[in-house]
Amino acid sequence: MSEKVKIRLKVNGEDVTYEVDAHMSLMRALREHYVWDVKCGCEVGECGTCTVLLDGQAVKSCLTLAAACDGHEVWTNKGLGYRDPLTARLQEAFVECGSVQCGFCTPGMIVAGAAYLKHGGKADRAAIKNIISGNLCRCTGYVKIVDAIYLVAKEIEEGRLTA
Amino acid sequence: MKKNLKLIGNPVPRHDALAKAKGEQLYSDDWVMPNMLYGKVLRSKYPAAILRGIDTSKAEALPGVHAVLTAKDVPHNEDISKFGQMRDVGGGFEGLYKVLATGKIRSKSEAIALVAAETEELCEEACKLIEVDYEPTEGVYDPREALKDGAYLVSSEDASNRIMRSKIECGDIDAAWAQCDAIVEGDYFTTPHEHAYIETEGGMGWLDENGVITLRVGVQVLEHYRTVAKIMGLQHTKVRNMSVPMGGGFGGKEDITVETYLALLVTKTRRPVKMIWSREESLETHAKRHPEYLHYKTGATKDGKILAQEVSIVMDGGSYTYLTPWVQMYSTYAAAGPYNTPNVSIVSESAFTNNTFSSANRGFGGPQVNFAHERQMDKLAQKLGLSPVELRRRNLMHNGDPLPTGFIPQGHNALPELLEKVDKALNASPKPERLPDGRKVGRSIACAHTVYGRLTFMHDSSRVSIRLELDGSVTLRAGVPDLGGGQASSLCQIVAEELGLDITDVHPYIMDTHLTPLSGTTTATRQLYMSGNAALKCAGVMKGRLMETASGILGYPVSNLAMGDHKIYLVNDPAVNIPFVKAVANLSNDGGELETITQFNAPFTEVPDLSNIKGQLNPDLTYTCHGVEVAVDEETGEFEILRIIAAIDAGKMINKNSCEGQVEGGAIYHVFWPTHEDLKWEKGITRANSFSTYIMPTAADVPDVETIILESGGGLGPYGAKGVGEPSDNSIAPAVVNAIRDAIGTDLNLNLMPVTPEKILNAIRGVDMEH
Amino acid sequence: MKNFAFVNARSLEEAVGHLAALGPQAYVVAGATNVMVDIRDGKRNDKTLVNIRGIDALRGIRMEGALVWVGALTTIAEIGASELIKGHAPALYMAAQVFADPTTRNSATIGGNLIKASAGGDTLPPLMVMEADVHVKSARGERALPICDIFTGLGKTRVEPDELVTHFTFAPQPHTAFMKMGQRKSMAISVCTAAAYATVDGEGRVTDCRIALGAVASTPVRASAAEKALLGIKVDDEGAYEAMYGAVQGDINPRPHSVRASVEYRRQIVPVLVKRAVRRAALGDCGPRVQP
Repeated sequence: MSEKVKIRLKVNGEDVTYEVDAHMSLMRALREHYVWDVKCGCEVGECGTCTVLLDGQAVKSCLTLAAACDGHEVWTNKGLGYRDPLTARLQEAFVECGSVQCGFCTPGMIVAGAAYLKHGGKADRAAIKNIISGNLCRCTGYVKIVDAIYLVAKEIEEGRLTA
Repeated sequence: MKKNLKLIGNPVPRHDALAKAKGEQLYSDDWVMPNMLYGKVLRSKYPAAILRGIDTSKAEALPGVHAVLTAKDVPHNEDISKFGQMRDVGGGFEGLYKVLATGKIRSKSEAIALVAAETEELCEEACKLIEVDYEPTEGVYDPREALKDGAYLVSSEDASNRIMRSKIECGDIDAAWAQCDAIVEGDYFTTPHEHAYIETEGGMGWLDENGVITLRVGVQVLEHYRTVAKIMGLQHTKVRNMSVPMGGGFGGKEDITVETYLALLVTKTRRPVKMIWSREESLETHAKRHPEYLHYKTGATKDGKILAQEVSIVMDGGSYTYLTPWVQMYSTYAAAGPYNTPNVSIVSESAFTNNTFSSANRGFGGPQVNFAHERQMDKLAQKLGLSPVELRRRNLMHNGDPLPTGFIPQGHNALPELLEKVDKALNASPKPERLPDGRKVGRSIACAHTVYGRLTFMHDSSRVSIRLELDGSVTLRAGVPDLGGGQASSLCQIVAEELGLDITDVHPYIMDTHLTPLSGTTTATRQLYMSGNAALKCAGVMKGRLMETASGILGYPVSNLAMGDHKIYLVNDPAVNIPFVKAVANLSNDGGELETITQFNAPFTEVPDLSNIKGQLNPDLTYTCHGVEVAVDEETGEFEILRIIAAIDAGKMINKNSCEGQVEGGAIYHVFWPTHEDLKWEKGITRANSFSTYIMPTAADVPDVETIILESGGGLGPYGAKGVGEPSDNSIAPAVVNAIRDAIGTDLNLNLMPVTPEKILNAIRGVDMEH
Repeated sequence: MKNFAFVNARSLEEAVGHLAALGPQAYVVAGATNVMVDIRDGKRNDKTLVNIRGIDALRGIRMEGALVWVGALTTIAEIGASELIKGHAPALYMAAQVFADPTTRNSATIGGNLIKASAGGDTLPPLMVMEADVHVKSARGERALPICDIFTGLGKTRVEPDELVTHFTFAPQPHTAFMKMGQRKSMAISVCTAAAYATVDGEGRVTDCRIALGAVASTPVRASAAEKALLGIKVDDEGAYEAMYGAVQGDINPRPHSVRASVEYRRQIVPVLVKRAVRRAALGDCGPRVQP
């Protein structure tokens, strides 16, 4: 049996203490604490639906060791949507553009897209496709997902929204 | 039909889109209960074996393990597979459904035992402690071998590996060849195709306070609760699935998944149980698109008139029957393609093998034959010296033309128009020989006709109910499993349109077997057609009641009144009106019925004579045409998809975003199938059991799909809509391979999937890898 | 049952201390992108995870005298965004653009890619043509290992269990390039990769070259036979590569029965990737598309 490790981290702006198995992934640790917008699609980094922000960088939480996140900051799609206007706008854009079908890849896609925009990503379809290429979607054919991220990137470029 | 549609066709946000975008939507895995256990299935170690015995004592002795179940613990371990149909069809269409293994093990996906324990890890440990006595056997992995006399028998229950044989004939095929100036013959193979929804199968079950087995499992077919009840020896009333939206389905969640396993484990342990399949288990276990071995012989006159099409199909049904016979109907029905062909012979056979079972996958038997007949068309065009587009132009079915069964489709056939539109878009600029970087460019166009609605001899029906709330909002209830296509939201849009409301005024409660009307399966591209019509009918009933009420208040006959903008008004003077909510109040005050349920029935036919199938098999067809441009690297055989043009006649778009989403998503769902998406089965072992080995496209691999959506109004759905879900993925696969052919100038190695870079490279070098 | 313990190393000294104390029991975790998969698959168990992610001294890209210094904890994303790497080690820069996918690149580290020692590790052939030194530290001291001799088998290196990879150094070399063939453009495990260092004279003849290949043997390999065959050829003369096409076959030994590609196919495309890598190395072109 793995050792239990106590970690203190900030999840969606809140200070939390988790007790996790030494080998547990951040994805499992979050889901065990009802952070259910972090989905499990493959658990080996091949689908991207568990993507979260770790200290501001998009990472696959199934490939992240929870115990190593002690003292770090995690944001998920749901938390960002309530606290970060840019992500909230991107979520709306996903609705407007018809980018959501089954919705299972959506949280990871939005986190990947939000990270791109926060790091100064441009309204460039090829660049957007590249940045979400670690996230699989089986429903949409990606067109409308790219549309939504592009739309918000454009709004930032035109000064209607701040990154 | 209503002329001025306010909501229909608009890209209004779906009722569930914001919740999904915000990460609020809860799926099968997003639920826990106090005192819950985890469940796991032990799968077979071998694809073919005789199960001699199982010793579960060590597993049961492991602390924290609460149940270890084998076939002897299942009240009724065997049943006839049913797929939500309201009619017992019989006639070889319904095969054996076995819960846990007995006798011969038919594939590696066979469930040997079930475990429930305190943690997932304990479940895994318990599975390792179950001692299974296998006698491995040779097995058979190719359906053509399985059909030979003396072949290894896959099952202990059947005397033959043959699942079904069927035939469609018209004209005189033998006499026709003499009149043909050009004949092309080809062998084709299509690989097993994986649905690869991002959410694997899973869910929870528990016993409610009255002992009802209650499931919370996302599935495409709610009606499996009946099968669960039969397996458990309970009345249908004692099993309920309060289902949840799926993270994708595509046909893969059409067959029963975890429902019976959960029912058995919760009954045994009296505790809630959660079971979620890993990605590996999902890829190795659930059904795949049938691999098909096809032989085509096509003949035409020198001016390009197709005279004869002879087709033989052998389908790999895998380990159990499941939906093989139904899929086979679709393959057989569509095998000649959307072309007028006076002389046709189509013979199809399906067989058991020791591979993972085959069943439904988006397109349901259509894409396999489409790949073959569209490859044939390009070869025939080559032989005749015609352009592939011109050959299609000369042979496409038009309105009023019969299918080979003699049935004349009633809905509009827009293929001639779709073909021209795609040709114009794809060839808007002349094709360059090469890109500036040196890669060869190829272009191609392929066509398809794909049915929507279930087989008419299944006697399909759907029910929808609506309830007027006293504040003027509307509750819609329907047993519509939503797999992400916007199935439920479209129903709200229809009801809101009819009642002159906003879509936000109609809220859907869906997919609870015992609290929502049974709307039938979310399969066969049937929900918009079936439940859409039921919703339209239901809204009509309510509208009638409200108009009568308004007529009484306003003092004008119903025929002079209309509904819109939350009002019922006089058509000639809209100032004379009453608010919608007031009409509801009056209806309520007068003791009128505020709630109603209506049923829509598809056309019914009788079970066909399989030795000579005639007449109608499906309600209608949807027509598609795909144009593809590729660039091929002649030194490596790699190719890149540069353009995809996806054209469809949707009849009428209910929700523009949802409809485009199907057309875009359908194209990408199938674009890698002929070349990349292969499970790499080897003697019953799934070698590609992860998303790093089963290769589907990322966003970086595909161009933006260019959609062309016609709205002919010629469908059988509400407002003349046709189904688009499955048709959207048909006809792209052959367009990809034909475009590669166009680039490299040879048909060598492009007939048996997967058409890998290695095969393309060898084709360029003139090395035959298919014979 | 999975059985792991966890220790967090806050400094390099702490880390090597843990490794000395734990010996083979230690399992170093940095970006964790390989570690998490191996734990899940049960490939490793009964270990103490030694987390080094927080040791900032192991991070960064800079010049140290005449050499480029890359910390072992530097992520692939940081390498792929570095102008210094782009100018001084284009092959490594190009590899970082096609490594896994952008999200995974935010976690995966160059040190982890080395220690995983997979045949297809995308940063390894570039480091080999750069003839990088791998610097390791243990309680016993420090040493530098030449990367070309470091791989002893699939997943195995000469780095001892008590040693920690701290950084890489190599001389700047703008004339390098990297080519990857995968089954798709992102999230692709390499079917075959080729890195090249090549310089040419005024007539475009190869004056010096080094070739390293990935996913064509049990470890990344230097292709010495191919290197010899390339010397003196004119890089833009298509026919001049013929000798290399044959020679390189002796440098490789692709794994049979691979789920990704056949032995024959790998043998067919390796020389193509070598040719393209050499041409681009000679040109100093690290743009995105393969030019046939």
